[in-house]
Amino acid sequence: MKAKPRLLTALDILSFLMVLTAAGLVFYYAPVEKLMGAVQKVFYFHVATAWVGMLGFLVAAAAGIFYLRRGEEQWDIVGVSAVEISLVFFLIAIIMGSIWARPIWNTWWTWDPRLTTASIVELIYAAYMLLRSGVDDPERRARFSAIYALFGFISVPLTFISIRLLRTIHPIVIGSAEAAGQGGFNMDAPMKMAFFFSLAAFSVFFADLLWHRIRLGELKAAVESLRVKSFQEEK
Amino acid sequence: MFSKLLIPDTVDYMIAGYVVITVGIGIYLASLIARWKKTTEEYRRYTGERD
Amino acid sequence: MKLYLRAVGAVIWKDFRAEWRNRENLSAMLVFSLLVILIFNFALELDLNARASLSAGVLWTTFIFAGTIGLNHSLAVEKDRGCLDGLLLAPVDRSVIYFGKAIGNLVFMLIVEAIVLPIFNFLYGFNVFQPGFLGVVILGSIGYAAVGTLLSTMVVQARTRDILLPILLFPLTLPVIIAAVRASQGFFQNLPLAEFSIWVNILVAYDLIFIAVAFMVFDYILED
Repeated sequence: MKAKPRLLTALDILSFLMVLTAAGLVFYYAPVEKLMGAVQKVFYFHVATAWVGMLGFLVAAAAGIFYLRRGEEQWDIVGVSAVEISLVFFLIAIIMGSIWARPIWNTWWTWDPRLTTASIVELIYAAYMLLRSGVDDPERRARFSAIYALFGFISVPLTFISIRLLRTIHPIVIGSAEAAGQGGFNMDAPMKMAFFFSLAAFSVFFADLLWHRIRLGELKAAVESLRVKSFQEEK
Repeated sequence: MFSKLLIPDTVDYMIAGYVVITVGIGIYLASLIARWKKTTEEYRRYTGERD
Repeated sequence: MKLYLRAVGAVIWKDFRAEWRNRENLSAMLVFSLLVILIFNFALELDLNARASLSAGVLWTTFIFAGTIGLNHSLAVEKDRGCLDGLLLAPVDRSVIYFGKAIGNLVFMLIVEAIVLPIFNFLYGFNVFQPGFLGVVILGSIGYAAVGTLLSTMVVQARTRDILLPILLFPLTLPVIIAAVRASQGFFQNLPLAEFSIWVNILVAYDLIFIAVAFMVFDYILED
């Protein structure tokens, strides 16, 4: 078992401090938005978590391509790690968005393009996990999930475009509040500062989590091969 | 004073939002740690390695 | 190139011959489609007003569900009877198998649709015999069969293959479903083509992109 790299510990501390600072900026530095009130502060971390979700999707698709090209097991571990983290963060982003929407649009849910696409991405992640649990042979599982991650990554932009067109051609706008809620407020400098710092903080946090999850995956793979070996020795 | 009255009171929703993210990430971290411990234990069982 | 096409043709021909012997796939898809239409009719109470806006959705949901049955069956049969291994032994490019199976599945879908559409016309009074609308049906089915064949080849090799296909397939084919429903609605409501031609463009784009990607990755699905 490899010892925990120093760099990883440094990254742990860095991401913790950055997320803490981001929270400080959001709560104490950024002003309260006048039209929506305090709930607008959900926006900063909502976008940041959704960003992490998309980042994970990108990483998973890229890892899929690398796996198919090179056939190295580590790329499969990277892929599943990225999807798992994204699954968690996207779920958080969707719930946070829904909480934000409640007082602003007066409803928990609208079939807004971004919300809908986010939930479809979440379903693709879930399908990815189900696919993995349904295939026992590790090599085959890695190939299939690489392909599925790639397909998901290609189809999502098309889905987003379709839903967006659906909404513009058939406008079901729930009051004019939707325009205000859709990032329609103007960000002043402190808001922008809090916003971009949150994005940066969560990107670092994502990298940190991804590294941890990859280490876990590698350890699991090592245990798996040990298990197979000891099983063969017993025979 | 007057402008402050116009700002809607949505603090509850803000708190709810941040509770969701804290709890969500907390659960994920806990699951990562739990899985790490479990896998480490298994690893030691197979290798007999200490530490 | 000519050899390639002949090989693809052979795979398709093999599927047709097998289907002709018992016709179990086609008849299952067909009966299932009619049942879905029947269920929708009662579940949604498709009166005259509701029909105009809903029936395109009903029609495509029917096609999609029936298509899933066909896809599942088409590859499961290969796997169960050991034909997949036989196909793999054939001295042809793997993509031949993909295109053969995909075109076979597509044709089965189109046959079912060709029977369901006149019935749909008869029941709900929409004129389905417009060249543009039939084009949409074909484009939508192409996209669905292209992605569906690839995924079902994957799924038959999984332990949970009975339940996996729709879960994997539906979220990926959502653009096809949205675009096909909207384009069909445009034809049913006799809107000018310019208003909904964008949906036809999306269908074409989806078909081209996914056929290309499927062509590139299919080798990895049948690697053993």
